[in-house]
Amino acid sequence: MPQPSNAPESSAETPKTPVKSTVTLSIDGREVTVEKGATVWDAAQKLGIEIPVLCHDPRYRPVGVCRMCVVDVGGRVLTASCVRPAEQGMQVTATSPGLDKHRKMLTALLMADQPQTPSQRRPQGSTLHVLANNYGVAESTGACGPLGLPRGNGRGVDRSSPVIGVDHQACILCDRCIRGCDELQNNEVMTRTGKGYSTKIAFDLNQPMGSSSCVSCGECMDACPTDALVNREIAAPIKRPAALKQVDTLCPYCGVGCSVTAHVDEERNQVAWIDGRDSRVSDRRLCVKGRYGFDYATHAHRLTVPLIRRDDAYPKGPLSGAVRLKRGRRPGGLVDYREVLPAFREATWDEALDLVASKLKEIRETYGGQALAGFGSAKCSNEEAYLFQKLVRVGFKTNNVDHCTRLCHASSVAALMETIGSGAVSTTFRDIENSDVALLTGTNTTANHPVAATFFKQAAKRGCKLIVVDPHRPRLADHAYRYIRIKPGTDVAFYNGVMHEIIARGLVDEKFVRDRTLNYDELCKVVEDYPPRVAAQIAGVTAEEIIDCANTFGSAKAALVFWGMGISQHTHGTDNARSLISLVLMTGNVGRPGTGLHPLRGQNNVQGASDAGLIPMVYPDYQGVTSDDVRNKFEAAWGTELDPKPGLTVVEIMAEALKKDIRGMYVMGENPFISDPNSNKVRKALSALDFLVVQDIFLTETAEFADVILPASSFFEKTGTYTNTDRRVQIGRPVLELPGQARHDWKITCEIGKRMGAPGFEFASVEDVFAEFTGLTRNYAGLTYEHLGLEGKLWPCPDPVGTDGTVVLFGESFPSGRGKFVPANFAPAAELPSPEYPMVLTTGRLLEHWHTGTMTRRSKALHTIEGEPHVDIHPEDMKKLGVVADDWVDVTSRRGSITLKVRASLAPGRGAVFIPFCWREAAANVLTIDELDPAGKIPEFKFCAVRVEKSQPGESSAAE
Amino acid sequence: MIEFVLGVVAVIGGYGIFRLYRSLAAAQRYLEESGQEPPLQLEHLPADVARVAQDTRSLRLSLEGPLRQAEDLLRVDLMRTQDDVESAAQVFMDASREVAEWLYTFDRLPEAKRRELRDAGIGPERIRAAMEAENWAFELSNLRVKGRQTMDLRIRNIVEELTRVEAALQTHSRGYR
Repeated sequence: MPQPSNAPESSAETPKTPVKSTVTLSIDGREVTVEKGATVWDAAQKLGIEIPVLCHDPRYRPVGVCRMCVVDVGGRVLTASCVRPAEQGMQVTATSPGLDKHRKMLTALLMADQPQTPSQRRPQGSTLHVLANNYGVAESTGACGPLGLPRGNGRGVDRSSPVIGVDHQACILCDRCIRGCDELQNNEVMTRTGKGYSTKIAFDLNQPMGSSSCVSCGECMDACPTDALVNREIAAPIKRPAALKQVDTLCPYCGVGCSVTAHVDEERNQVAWIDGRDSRVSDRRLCVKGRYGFDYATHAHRLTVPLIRRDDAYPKGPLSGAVRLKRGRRPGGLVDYREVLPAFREATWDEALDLVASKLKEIRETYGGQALAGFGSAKCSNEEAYLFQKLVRVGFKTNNVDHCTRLCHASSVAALMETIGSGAVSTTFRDIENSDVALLTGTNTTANHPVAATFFKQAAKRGCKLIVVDPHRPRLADHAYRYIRIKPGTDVAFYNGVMHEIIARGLVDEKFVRDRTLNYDELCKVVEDYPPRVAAQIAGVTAEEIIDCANTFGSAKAALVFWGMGISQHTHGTDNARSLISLVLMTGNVGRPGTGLHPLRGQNNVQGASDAGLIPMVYPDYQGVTSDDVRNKFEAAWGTELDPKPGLTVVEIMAEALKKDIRGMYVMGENPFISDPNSNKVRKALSALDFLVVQDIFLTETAEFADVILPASSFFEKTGTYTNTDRRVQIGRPVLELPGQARHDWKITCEIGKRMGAPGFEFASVEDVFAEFTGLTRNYAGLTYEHLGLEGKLWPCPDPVGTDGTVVLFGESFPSGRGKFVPANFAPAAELPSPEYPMVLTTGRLLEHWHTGTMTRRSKALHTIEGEPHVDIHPEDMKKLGVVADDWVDVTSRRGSITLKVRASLAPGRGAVFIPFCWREAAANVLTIDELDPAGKIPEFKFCAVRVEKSQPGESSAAE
Repeated sequence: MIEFVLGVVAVIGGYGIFRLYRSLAAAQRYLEESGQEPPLQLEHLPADVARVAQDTRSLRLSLEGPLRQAEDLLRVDLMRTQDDVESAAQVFMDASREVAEWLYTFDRLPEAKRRELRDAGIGPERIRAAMEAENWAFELSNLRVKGRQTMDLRIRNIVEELTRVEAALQTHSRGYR
């Protein structure tokens, strides 16, 4: 047996900094020393000498095609400084009348071909036009350009994309857009087409942009130095930046937490456009949601006044047609306000808050705190999450508080807490830059964490081997060293097979196992029963695939594991995560750069909301509610007695509501009617509640069952901290004014707390809330708004003034001391296919739509790009079912039926179908099963049995 | 006896044929009167060209929606809301994408097949030119453009060209007979 090849070296924690050789050169008579390999342009930048460029951007591979940056290095001809490496003793002239003349001529030639009548203008002015102004060649009109040459007009305009306008005539073919698409976003959609004068940039095989495979990330638009690729108007008219207010904030969507700058039209109270911002997280990159999905905040559907249910709208029940229907084709993509609003009347804030406080108090006093529950939201800030859980614990006197982490990574956190004592990621996603192998499993990263995916694709290009394991083929598989399609729900068997093979091949990191872990023998005993041949049979793969995966991962010098909902959303999700953790522990792939465990967090603040204690069994910072010491600490801090029993989780709360054991609920920013499994059961549970208060920015499906609806603030209207998937705590800054009488969420929660007579809700500012929260935690200790600044800090951050925080955790030990192997045996899903329901349903997100679609379906651009419910089915299955693309089909499970259109896709594989859960009119969770993982209490969204049939025209819909 | 049997068979057979022709004629009449689309005749076409024919019909039918929208928008309607305008914009954007996708199905045909179809007078050039003139998207701002037909007529031209292509594809078997 070969010896383990990946044993960490003793010096692994302190890598030696290689001595870099340098060169010294002179530019315009000034000496500068730069690293060997730097270009003349880089050296000039260091000296502060501006050399104009058009085709160059330091983020892209230099190509030197525009020749604008030419300098004189004493050669026969001028040389492009962006590609010419600096040499020792080089004498460079970067500024001279001759060079100016050359650049002026180039600019004039480029201007000569600009469109006579521009179809669009970059609001900040294009780099080309700035140069033209500087050289005095911008002022020319008519049919001839500045040199008297005829202006071209042979290349057309493409307005097919709803977000980016393309004017080919304004393009100077600098290829920056192509390099941005290829090298940063790695989408490889753009290229050049044509010859000679008809050469132009093209999308795919010269498709119009709007019908190409372009994902509308806007990188090309950001890269363009001319008016060829320009943002189209989405909400407010696009004006010059000087006429707008610039606010540095964050993207409100996924757990990546991209840094953005919003350009705000204060007069209209609307965002005009959004740019990516330089940061350690996203490096100016954005996806379609981050760049173009901002206008939901100013949608006409925003709630602006508190609403109270009218007396004649009882008994409670669903109000809109789409929510009332149990089967068939539902109307509309958004809640029809005309159907719902008549059941409510406007109220003053005092009236609404008093009613909320008195009703909740009445239930607490009559039935006890256990009859109350609260759903917080991972879309809210740390401060809001902290206050919400405090209100439930202090005001409601219960631990029945949970949020959507229960539907996302609860099982991952359960497994991580059990095995290593920390639920957080062990390293950042960009640490893949230091990995030579990365295992990505159960994650559709290009759709759910698009900006993180760009770094993964870049790593693959650098040589990092991506092993993608997933029953649903993600687009990232196109970049993978190996894609392995396992059968849905067979992850444990597959990884047991991999671990069996790692042991058999002697690829175990014996030293790490000996020094840092427990229970290895137990693991060996279990995985012994899973030789590749057996595991392959269960998982529906070949033994060779398992062996190669084991060999590649086990031999890696630094390997990282990323996983998503495909791992966690199963009744055995905790077992799945345990297997991945065991894989990492046995190969010693944790605690070093480029190694670790990274469950990719879904929501922008799911990490923070969990850190802030929006979990029924732990207080902030994962301090258990059952520990007397911990409880005493929080009782002292909050000035009241606390419930020592862990609370109920999301799905359990709904089940108890159905039994009338839960009678009152406070829902802040969640939409359980659409997001929870088995919607028909949720409908009954919500109807059964004695009192429901919903605090949201829109009238959601859940709000139809509310007694009181409180108009809240959107991400763009408030200050707060958000913790991304990397553990980076960042500040979101207010961009817009609150609409109407809407209020900040933290103020609403405090008001309810005060009116319920709960102590500790007298805060003057959101920063005071943050201070109280951080003071009760170890990981956030010491962090203040001042420290966080524009870039934020990674927790834990022992020195918030001098450092950025800790990238790689667990270098020496785990919070639990030693890492514990918890072996798992394969167990089948809760509901297997049968002759009546022969196919497997998996659910998930789309690139363009977020969760239940309340935000993204109100975004003009996102809705235009992806506006209609569909089910993805493998073409072979379509053939068997006798359906073609765009046919209507009924998808039926044991719990309900929905009707939607068919889309052919190879992604789900044969025998499986995929339905995004953002469509309320075809809500996937009507079908899903509410069976729970016993440890993580997460429902099995990724597996249930369904039947697909061609929909009969005129088939009636049955209301419940 | 044999003659009698043959006679009966001939009468029954004749009556059967008469009934068949009559029902076919009735079906034909029904189809003509009902305004329904006659089924596509694709048996003579190779699979990829047949697919183009199917897509051509689908596109032609789906352009009826934007055509009606354009006609509607060109009429003065004081009751029209912002929602109506936005939903029309969505219909136009979807239609633009559908036309581009149809062009792409044509482009994906093997070169030899495209040449053969071109020789039979079947090609996407007119529709491509029409879309180029639209800057690849039907936009509300271009409902009326100086010097050009109104958008409903421009869409109608595309529908007519699609009808022509659809008919030509159904009669086409080979470029050279």
